[in-house]
Amino acid sequence: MANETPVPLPLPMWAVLFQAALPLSVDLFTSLMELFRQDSAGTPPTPDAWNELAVEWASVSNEQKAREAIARSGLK
Amino acid sequence: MKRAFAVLIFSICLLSYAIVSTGCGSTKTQRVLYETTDSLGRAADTATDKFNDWMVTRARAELGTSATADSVLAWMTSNKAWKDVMEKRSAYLLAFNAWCSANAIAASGTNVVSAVQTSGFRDAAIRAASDLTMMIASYVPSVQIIK
Repeated sequence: MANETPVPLPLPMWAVLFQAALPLSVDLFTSLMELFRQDSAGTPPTPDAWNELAVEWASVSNEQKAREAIARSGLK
Repeated sequence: MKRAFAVLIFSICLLSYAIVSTGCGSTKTQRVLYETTDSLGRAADTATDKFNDWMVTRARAELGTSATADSVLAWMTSNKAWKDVMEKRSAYLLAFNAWCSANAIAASGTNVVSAVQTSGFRDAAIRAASDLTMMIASYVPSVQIIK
């Protein structure tokens, strides 16, 4: 394992969220891009800012899960 | 000619991204990490799906023939049991995403995240998944509790 060459795979929090949350709502996407912009500008957002976004995303994801269950039941 | 070359480079980039993002071509360490996170993610997802299916059945029984997708969604999202379980799920998702991020950073070799830190994220994710599935199992006993 020691001589394996690791493949660079930088996946910070925003990328994991982005990958897992598609499709993001417009508001969430805007918030995410704003945090990313701050990060790129050299003023990384606080962990709390990431967490707030993650909590917001989780609530969207929870509702999406409910919608999927309703769709599985055949209701329209 | 230049355009063909550009298209070729773009295709290679796209293919590389697809290979890396699906975990193919990664090191054994990365594959093990993906399998572990995938396994926990799938188990928590299955439990959540079973809970939501159970909630839909309850909502339809209560709302009767007038039930529509919107009314069922409104019934579910205003239900205390659903809110409680989804609060646990949100906590689990935070811990799970943090663990995935820590794994990815550790496996990338670009940053040093010690094994202790990574296992701390893992423990937190498993603990949160355990809390989530324990609560779900109190409503849907057939759901397996993650330990």
